[in-house]
Amino acid sequence: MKYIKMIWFDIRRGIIQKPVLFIVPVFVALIACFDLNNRIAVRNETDGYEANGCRTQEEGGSADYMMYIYGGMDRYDPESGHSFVLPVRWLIVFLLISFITLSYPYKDMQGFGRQILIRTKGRTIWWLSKCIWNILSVVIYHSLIFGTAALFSIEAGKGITGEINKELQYEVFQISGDSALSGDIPWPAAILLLPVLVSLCLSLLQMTLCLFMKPVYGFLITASILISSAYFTSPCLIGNYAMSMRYEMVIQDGVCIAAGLAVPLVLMAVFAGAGVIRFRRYDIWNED
Amino acid sequence: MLWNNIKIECKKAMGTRLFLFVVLTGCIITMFSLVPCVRSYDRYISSLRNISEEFSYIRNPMMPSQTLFNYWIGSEAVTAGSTNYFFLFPVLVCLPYGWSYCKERRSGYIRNVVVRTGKWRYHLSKYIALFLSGGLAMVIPLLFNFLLTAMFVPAVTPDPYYITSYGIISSSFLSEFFYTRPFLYVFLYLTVDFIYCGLLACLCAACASFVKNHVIVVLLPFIALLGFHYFCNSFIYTSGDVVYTEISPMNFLRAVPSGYDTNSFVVITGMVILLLLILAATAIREAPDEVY
Repeated sequence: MKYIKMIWFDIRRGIIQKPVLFIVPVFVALIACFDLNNRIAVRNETDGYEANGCRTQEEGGSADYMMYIYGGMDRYDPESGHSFVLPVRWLIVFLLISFITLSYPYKDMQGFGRQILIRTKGRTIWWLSKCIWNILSVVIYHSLIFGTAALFSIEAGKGITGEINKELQYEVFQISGDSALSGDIPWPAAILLLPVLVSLCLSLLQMTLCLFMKPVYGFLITASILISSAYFTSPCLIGNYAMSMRYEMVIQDGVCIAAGLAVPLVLMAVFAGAGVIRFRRYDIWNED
Repeated sequence: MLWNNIKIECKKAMGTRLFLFVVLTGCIITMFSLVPCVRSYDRYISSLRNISEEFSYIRNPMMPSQTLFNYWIGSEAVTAGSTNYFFLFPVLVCLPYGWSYCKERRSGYIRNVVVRTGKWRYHLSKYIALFLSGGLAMVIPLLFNFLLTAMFVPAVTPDPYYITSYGIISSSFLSEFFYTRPFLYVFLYLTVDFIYCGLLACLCAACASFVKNHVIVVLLPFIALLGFHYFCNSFIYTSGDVVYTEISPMNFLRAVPSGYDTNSFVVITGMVILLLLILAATAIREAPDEVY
């Protein structure tokens, strides 16, 4: 009962009373959807390719809008000499949720939450309640992005599709011919759920880091992991699993999807456990 | 009195371990640019040596194509160090002192100072300290990298003949200095970076007028810049066939264009807009604010 009350308190104060959590993902998704629409229109108008039989007109469905948001970028090869271009759309999706969930646990611990913590005498349940709040916030954030993309697709008359248009994605993400995989294996829209799992993991990591250091440093580390993941295609950098355009079924030598499922789940358990251990000895009167 | 205030604020901003930590972090990040760049230069020199051993002489070693001015962190957009530094700089410049105004308001310290010095002196000295700390937090690691790179790569004056090695063309910002007085070019770019990052740090104090949480205040300039960059990519740079003018500070604060070229009008307008935002926040919220 005590635990449920605590979770409900966190949901009310950390989710329901936070309009930014509901507004930001809608804006981010809408901008990305308009952007993709623009790119498709420009592509379809270019030089009458269709008339020459070189290219067909492409149409994006709801899964394409989602893929455009979570795609990230092609692998980057520094040896090529090309400048590294920030995958800003992908970065903003993951950094904004890190930013939104950054301050609530910390603020709560210095305010009303401290009273609850003292009166309930349950540090572990306080921490687990914050973990549940964190997971819920991230799920709501990404659900709103998915929902907005789906609604945009319906509004644009394209309906909801479960399959991703490979040619279109290879083109908008400018995947080089060497990287692109040929073959008829379709990409299921389910691969778009993996970035959500990675986002959960990063958000929990950030919350746990805030027990060891100031929240700003936690955010800085999260941002560094994301930008390093974009730069290096390595299974050791978890951000790679959050980029749908880096999966093995999408590009040559991409990252393994099965590992992408297992690693975030294991890490989430580790971070939650580390948080419990650390929080038992944490000085809650620390004003810094 | 004002001078004393400025001295105290500057000491609070830059005489701390946090400032040192931020500058050190910046320097460490720049090392991830230095190492690959020096290796790349070594490879070039070894290849020259191999050719000279093979053919006994080299007619044109193309030395101006491999110079300090295209190997330091500001002039390359390829290494992990450069990528990380020019992505994280808005956080790094706000970290040393961006939180101070917010915390001083919350703790009540501001009342003790204002009653002794007056509101405007307090604000002016706070903004000067913020400006200097932000600017220095950006420029010191860049300067550190420039000097370290100069220990390995000679500062040959760039030659327009090898323009493809530099990525700086006639329409690039300050390009006239790059090919004639490259040290002045680097100095001017560092000055631009200093002013922008100083203003970004001041923006923290302006944000603190509206936001009470110091964690959010420190990160807001970064989120705002990233949001602006996203907006530019989505709605302005839409066609691959058009040559746009770079207006995102996340790109144009690098001394080599990583996307499009910028120009002095954009750079100065950006500074004026930042300054106006800071002044507006101070005039609207701080002037009528009763600190007690």
